[in-house]
Amino acid sequence: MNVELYSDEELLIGCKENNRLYQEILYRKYAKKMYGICLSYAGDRDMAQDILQESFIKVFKSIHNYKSEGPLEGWIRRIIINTALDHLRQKTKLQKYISDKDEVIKEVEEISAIEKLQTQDILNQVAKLPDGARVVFNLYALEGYTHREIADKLEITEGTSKSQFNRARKLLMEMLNKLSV
Amino acid sequence: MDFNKWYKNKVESNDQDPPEIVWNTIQDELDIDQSWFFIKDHLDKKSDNTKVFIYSAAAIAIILILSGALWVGILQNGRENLELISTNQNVLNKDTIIVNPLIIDQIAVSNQNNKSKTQSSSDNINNKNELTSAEINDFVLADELRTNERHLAALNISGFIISNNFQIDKLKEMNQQDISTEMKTERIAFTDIYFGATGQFANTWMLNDKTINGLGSNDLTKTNASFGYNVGLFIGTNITKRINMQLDLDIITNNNQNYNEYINGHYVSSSLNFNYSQVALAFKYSKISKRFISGEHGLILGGYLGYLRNAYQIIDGNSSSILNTYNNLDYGLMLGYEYVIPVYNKIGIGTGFRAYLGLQNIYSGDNYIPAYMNKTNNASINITLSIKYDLK
Repeated sequence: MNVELYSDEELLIGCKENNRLYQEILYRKYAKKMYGICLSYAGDRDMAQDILQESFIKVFKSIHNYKSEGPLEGWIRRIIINTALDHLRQKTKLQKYISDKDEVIKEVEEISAIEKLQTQDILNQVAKLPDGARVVFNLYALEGYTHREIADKLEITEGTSKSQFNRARKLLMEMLNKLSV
Repeated sequence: MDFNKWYKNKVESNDQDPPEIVWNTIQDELDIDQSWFFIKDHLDKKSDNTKVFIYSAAAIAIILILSGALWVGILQNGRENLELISTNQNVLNKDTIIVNPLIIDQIAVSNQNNKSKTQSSSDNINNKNELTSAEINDFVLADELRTNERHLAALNISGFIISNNFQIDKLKEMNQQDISTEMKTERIAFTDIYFGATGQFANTWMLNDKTINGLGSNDLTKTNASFGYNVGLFIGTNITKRINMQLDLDIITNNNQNYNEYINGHYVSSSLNFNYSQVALAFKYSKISKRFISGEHGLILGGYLGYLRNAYQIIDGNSSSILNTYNNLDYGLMLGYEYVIPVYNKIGIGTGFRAYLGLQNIYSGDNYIPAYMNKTNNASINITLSIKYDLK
């Protein structure tokens, strides 16, 4: 099934009619990409699958509310992110793991060899990050949220968001440097 | 190197196939939801259907009542006209009558034209209160007899009073006696024998907890109207002047019940189908009427005994025998009304309705559900059409 042959508009119409074929095509069109994102947020594959599954159920149930104001992919992605955050909150009580303490972050020297790392290796290292730090890092680096927006979303302070981001970045670079060496 | 940008590119280019189980789980979840929506729609629709059914029944009841009232009114009116015609014939033979002044005016005007009288009718009203039969006869010949019924009705409305010892009540009484004499002939028991064939279109019901609850809007089972037919023969005789005894042999009697139910996560259509042969013994109170259309009214009360020849259930198109889980015999009461119109010589055609109510729990039970937990009774309301031949 070549899902690329179907436009988002067609898929939307079909999905709004609860047509199972169109729902499957929509899923297959976006699931790969969204699964990658789920993996970057979730600590493990099982959770990533749960997030993906729950997100697409939300997509199909609430597709009547989609106003076509932005790209469909962006809308699905927002649902994925929110679902991922919900999962992480349930799993870890996220705020508890996001310390308000400003840590002294020592700059880590970036080694050019990490550029050659496989994506899967990178994701494996990301998964090792503490949940709170990983979420803040992903929201900032992947979604492009500002620290103010992250703070609002996670109900933390802006300073905490910044410190968690720096912490995650430092830890990740350390791990990647080790891996590349 | 911009680490953030590099990381974003890596992640976003990392398309991975999620396991197939993810989609399967999504489908399952959507199926469950869709089932609920179906159930909800179904319940809403059923609620609407119940309302429509109630309104329709109310409308039909009102129409029937109004039609009945109209019919009785027409019959009554026809009877009064007949009585007045009879009265008129008698009145015209009498010497003197006292009539309403308005009618006198009409008669006087007519007389004036015919006899060129010069006196005004108002001046001589008292003199005209008494008219000779010759004058009346002239007038009637000229005008009234041509429009006998209409004129008589006018006389009736105007308060036509008959004098000279004639009373309308007496006339009515005489008239009734005449009709009765014509209608009634003394009958002795077993002197009249008739037989015939009958067909019935039946609205059938299998009354049990499931089907009764299925009539409500809050139950997952939806009971649907079901129809069948009966075909049979009958023979009867009189046992008194007005009461007949009739034996019906319904060779084919269908009792069905259709319903929708929720089985294993799916709504399916189900039906119970029973084929009986039944015998009914009834007493029929008959009254001959010559009003409107000459015919015989009959009220029927009796009992029936049915033998179950075949029973099967169809669930979602799949048929299975349920003969072993239902009793072979059923019995109950029968109530009905029939109107037989003579059509040719000794042949009459009858139509009416019958209501059957089974007194027996027809469900005999199986390994899972004992009989007492699923008490089921047959019931039906039938429209009948019969052809009858009078032997004597």
